[in-house]
Amino acid sequence: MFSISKKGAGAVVAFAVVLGGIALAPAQAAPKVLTIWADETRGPNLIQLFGALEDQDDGDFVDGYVIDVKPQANFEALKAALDNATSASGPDIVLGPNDWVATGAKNGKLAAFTLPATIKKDFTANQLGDLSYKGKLYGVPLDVNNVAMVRNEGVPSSAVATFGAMVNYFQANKEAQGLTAGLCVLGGGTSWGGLGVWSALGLQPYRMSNGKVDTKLSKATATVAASGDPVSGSFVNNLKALVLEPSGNRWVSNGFWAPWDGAPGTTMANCEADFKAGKVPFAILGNWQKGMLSTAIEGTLQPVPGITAGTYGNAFGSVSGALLTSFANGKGNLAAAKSLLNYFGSRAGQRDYQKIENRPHANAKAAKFGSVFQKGMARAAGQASIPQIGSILSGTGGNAWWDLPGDFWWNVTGDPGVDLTTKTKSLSAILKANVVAGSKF
Amino acid sequence: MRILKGNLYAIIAKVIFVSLAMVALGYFMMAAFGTGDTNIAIFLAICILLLAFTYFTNLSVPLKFFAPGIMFLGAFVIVPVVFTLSMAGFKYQTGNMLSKEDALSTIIDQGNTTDPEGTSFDVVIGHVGEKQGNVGVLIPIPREDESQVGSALVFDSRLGYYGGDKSNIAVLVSDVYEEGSYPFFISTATELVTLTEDDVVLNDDYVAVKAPGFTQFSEAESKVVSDQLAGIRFKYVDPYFLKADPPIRGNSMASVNQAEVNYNYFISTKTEYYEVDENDVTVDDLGQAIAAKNFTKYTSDQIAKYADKIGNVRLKYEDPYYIGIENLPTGSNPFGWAIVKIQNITYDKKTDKVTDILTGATYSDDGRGNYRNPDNKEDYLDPGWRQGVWFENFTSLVTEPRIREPLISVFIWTIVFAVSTVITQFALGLLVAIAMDKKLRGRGVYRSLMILPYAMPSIMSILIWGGMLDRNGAINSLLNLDISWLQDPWMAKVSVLLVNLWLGFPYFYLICAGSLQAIPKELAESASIDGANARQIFRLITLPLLLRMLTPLLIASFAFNFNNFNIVYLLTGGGPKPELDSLAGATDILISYTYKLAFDTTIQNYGLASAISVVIFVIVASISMYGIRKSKVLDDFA
Repeated sequence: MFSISKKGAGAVVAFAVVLGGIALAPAQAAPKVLTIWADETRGPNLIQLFGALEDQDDGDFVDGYVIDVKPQANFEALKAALDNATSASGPDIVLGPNDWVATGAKNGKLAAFTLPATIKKDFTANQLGDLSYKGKLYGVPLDVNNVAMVRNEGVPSSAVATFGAMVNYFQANKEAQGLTAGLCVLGGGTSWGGLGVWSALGLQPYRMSNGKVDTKLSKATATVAASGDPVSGSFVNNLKALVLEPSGNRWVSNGFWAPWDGAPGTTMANCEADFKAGKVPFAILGNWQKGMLSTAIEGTLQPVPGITAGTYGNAFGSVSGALLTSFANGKGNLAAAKSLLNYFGSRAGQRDYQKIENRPHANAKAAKFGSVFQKGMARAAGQASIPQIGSILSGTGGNAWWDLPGDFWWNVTGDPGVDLTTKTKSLSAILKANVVAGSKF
Repeated sequence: MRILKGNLYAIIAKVIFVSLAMVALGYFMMAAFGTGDTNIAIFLAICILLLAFTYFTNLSVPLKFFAPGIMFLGAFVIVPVVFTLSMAGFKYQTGNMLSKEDALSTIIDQGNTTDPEGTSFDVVIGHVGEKQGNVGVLIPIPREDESQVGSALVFDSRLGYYGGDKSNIAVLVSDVYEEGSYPFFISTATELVTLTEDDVVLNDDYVAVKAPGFTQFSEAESKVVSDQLAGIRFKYVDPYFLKADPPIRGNSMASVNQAEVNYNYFISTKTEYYEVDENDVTVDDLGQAIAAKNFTKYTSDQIAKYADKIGNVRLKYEDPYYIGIENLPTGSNPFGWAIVKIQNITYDKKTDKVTDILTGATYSDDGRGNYRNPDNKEDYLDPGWRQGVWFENFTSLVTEPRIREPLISVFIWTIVFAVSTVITQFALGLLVAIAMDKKLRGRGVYRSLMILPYAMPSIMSILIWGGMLDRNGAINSLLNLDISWLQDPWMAKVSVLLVNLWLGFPYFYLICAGSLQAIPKELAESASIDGANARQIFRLITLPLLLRMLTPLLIASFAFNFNNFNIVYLLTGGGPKPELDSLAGATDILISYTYKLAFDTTIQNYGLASAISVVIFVIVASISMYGIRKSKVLDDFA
């Protein structure tokens, strides 16, 4: 029988603990590193821009620093990672959309900074305003996120002037060309990418006036009201005239467009496949979807046309930015992170990055050298974009804009005998409440 | 006292395994301390002590078996429950996530702004005196009678040589941003050759890369001539000249400089701001200040070493302003950038009040987690902090109509859903088990098929069912129906129950099949001999015995389904909403309703979510306890 004294046992344990601790302790003499978090597309592109960590020379971009880009699995994962980040684990810079700014600033996760005037002048006041909260700037604009509409190959060769003209084209060629739908939203989904359609018909989450959200809302619940109301007085008529038709005692899509594939009234089985097969003449796609375009239709980018010629349905035209986090200060990297933000904002930085990322440049000077696609997207954004204001879009509990158009369509086409006007009034009341609540955020 | 007894190998193995476990916990403990998660670190320290006392002493033999379980119970059950309970008593939501100490610190840190003129300087960052950590800046300020060319005048260029002579170093410049007189040109120390767009070859960035007479240096050649660049003034429009940076990935930035700019020099440290005699300043060949008396410029390594200090130092300037260093030197710019700021937010610890000295507004603790201006209730400072609000989150469930009104119908549907699910799953599972208990051809195949729904990932099954139940989905198409399975409130409820039945009955089939085997056949035989028919045997013998065995599982199933978020969220999203402005949908159960309340909105309210979670916990625990007591299933364990 073997036995060991208490002292001996303690020594063995202590030895094991020390050895293990040494083996597991992280190396301390690491070079100075700036950490950037980005999503699954921007992250790898940034790595391509800065080079892999082990291949970088200190100071290529900021004196004495190398840049470690950590791509997250997707956009949601990036948001969750930022929400859960601690002072030790958090990044110095995160690439995110403008609607993270207010929440990030309120939660103390983002830090304000000052941009040199030479860089600042290359951005519009709206772009900088999108990344500001209570008058302080929290990030530098990187790219414009927007969608635009394209005409498929072999369909109208000139720009379409009105929404009605598109519907007419579809109805006239439906049988002959075997069209399964008139318009599909390839990028950004029903509420974000599809805003152009809703807006053209008369529905949007808020209206802008002189660069600000129009908060002069009518008190009545009626849909015809003040000019700033989210739902216009002609919305119901536009729905009936352009995208809906009666089927027995139900409303169904007239086949031109529906918020999702296969909705009642449409024969479109798969938006992307049908568009590529030439069975859908018009499509809305995002500025990250260049790969879906042939050069033949690249030049046809335009906003969704409105009811009358010369008007357009608004689309979200938010900027994404490189946002400075408060973790940078905790890690002693504040000045270095600010320096890298200057690079991101500079013409050279934007040009280098967007050459890989391929979205429209936020920097106006750098945008001059964009590709046909980037310029087309930027032109569409200039014609019809509205800012993406998260505090209004997220709405009061359970009433986020992101669900509302889909829910509305679902309600309108779901049950027999639906009164469109009643449903629209209800929708209008919710959107007005969202504008009021979100404007106070 | 001998504390380790037994076989040598067993003792060694034990010491190694326990030590490894302790090392792992110790590592996590250190990491937790490092990240400031003190509570987690303390918990891990207790676990380490528990392991040591349990396995290296003979204090308690039963503890040797229970210790790991106790630790996991603590980590994954007790701690989350305690945390949820405590958070239910706080205003813990977007904007109120930090501790008061951290919130105040952030408010102070961010409470500065630039001076009204927006004064800024290009500065040389270094240290004053011998002490390297004594951060200071040398500020060259152009004299008023001189004009400085803005740093915006920087051109893309290519570095090479002109006229076939490698010693005639030249830059091929593309003035592509500001369309001036010389959109493209070649510049050497002695010559300026203007070009048109037709003369040059442009790359994708609209930057000229080839021109007549100009040959670009290779990367290796560039490195060799880089050292000479500092001394070359490339020709430009008088009185300006260009200086070129060493190329990075082929591109060299050429900046416009003025030939005879004179500066006044200032040094600023934490305690002093003073002018330096021009003669005490050392400049390089390009006239850039690089050192001064008692001032040494930092090297790149020193910049990195003192980056924290540099980023946070407040250097002396005219009161009440200070100089803050915003940017470090970069690859193409040897200067840092500093701006004049003022600390406009100040804090008085005695009164616990924050003042904005620029607006005169005073903010005091509003008792709700924010510093708020009493004269303007809409004016408050961000971020706020977690504020204890006692039972406010609980009372809001009753007092806030927005929450209260749907709560009753959601609660009733949650009970109906959980009970119906358990009953239907159990009934179908039992029915199948009894059917499969008989000998029949292909029983093995049938059994395998029955288990398939249980073996498939439920998320996939739910999504597939969602597609099939769409109005244009497979179900309606195959049966030639036009039923709004997911759009009609009642049909949506039926759909949720049906899909959940599909997902859950194999589980009950498995446990019922096993339990049936455990019931002695003799009981049924005796009853049969006494004249009982099959129905009586099932009702009076088999079912009571089965229920006796399965009641704990039925109660567990009830508790699980009470919180079955997946089926509701993935199949119907809680919908359909009876009206667009309804907060809850027809199939929302308490947990999905909680999710909507807490997270599906601008303000993510963790405090309210915790309160509802506590209420759900109490309901489930009460019903489960009642069921367990009533069935007396735990009496056997007493």
